[in-house]
Amino acid sequence: MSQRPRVADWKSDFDHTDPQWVADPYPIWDQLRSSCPVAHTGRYGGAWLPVTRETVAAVAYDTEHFTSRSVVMSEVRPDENDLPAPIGIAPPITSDPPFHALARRLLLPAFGPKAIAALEPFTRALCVELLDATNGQVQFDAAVEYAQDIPLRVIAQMLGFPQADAERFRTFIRMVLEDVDASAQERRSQAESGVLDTYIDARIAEHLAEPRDDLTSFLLNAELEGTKLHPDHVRGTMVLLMIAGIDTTWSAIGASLWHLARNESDRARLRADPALMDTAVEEFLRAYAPVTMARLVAHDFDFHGCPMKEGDWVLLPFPAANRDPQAFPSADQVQVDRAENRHAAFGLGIHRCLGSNLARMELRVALEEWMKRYPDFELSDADGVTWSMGQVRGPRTLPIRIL
Amino acid sequence: MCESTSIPPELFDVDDEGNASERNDGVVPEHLEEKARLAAANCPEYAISISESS
Repeated sequence: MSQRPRVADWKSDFDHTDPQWVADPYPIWDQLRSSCPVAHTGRYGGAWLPVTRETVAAVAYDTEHFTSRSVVMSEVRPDENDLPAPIGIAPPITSDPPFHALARRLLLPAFGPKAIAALEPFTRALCVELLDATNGQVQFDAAVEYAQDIPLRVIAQMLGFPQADAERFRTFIRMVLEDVDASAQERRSQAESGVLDTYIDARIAEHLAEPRDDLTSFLLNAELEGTKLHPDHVRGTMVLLMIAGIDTTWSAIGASLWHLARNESDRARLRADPALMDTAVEEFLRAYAPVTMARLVAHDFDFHGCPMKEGDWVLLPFPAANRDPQAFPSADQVQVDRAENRHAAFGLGIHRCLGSNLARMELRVALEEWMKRYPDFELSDADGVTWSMGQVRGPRTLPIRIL
Repeated sequence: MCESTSIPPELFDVDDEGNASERNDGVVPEHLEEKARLAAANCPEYAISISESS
């Protein structure tokens, strides 16, 4: 839990680790949207928070004034030693133009529609296996026993890592994404502990000795302008896939189940018309978008009347943009048949999620298989639901009862 | 990378990298006009535009 002072004024002292934000950030964003489009805080060494679709988009599209050298806001800012420029620690998400485009392009085929369609049977069988394991239980934790394991094991499969190691990834992810309220000293010692690098290096060594048809061998063989990728680039991209591909989708699946557990009419509509799942998935992505990004201000400038200084953080809450009533009619209502839904759950601009096809496939398959097995269910303990802290929002415990 | 759910295959080809290009030089048959309108309304990057000719 956060050790920080509680927030009294969200406009001038916001903190995304405050228990109020963690429990329910939407009213905070609604209030800020009507009072100012960009909030500020002195915490984290200075940070800004746009909350309208317009201002979030403006930051996301402006790679000149905002750098992606670090995309997770904490007490630690990257310094020159951390950054083998221009790659960044987890390319391409931490890369800026022009290197970014090269590093991203390289990955596109692995996440294109064809490659992802090929993963659907594995994903569906995995969902069925996880549901089978809940057989006979009337109450269980759908976040821990279902949602979490789906992306963990899909990413392990893509990278060619042992399925049995999925549990270990969870620890790494929590360290990077959820311990963001740690002091600078704690955060640095976590980063330097090197557990993740050691693990990945061992998998890389195995793949070098014995290449396989998976993403790890793909990265090891990949070339940029005729040269094999730098080992830091390969490792960084593998870290990125684990960090970006697991917590996020786990959160989206969990939040969608949380919504369905609380909304009998939406369960009934999806039972009566399974074809509604396509628009329902988009609506869950809009309304419960899990991912907030961050940028660093590249040099001093004035943004919508805010005097931004070089090195200030900017938090980019795509979930807040998705609830902007200027951009979406009835923005605060979940409408599973919403046909026009230009949401920004996958971000905007050059860093827009590379894995959107994968995430959508996992979310759709997870919900389809769940609804087939458990067409009716509810929260067994509404107060027992807990939400993650940090820039990826989703339920970490989700006690449900099968009806 | 286009988001494949918002781009109907009747109107767009999507290559292995996920980039979409319009079929039929972008001319939309009448029975697909509603799909084209929705594709434009759902593209998060406003990358699809529709112009009408009489």
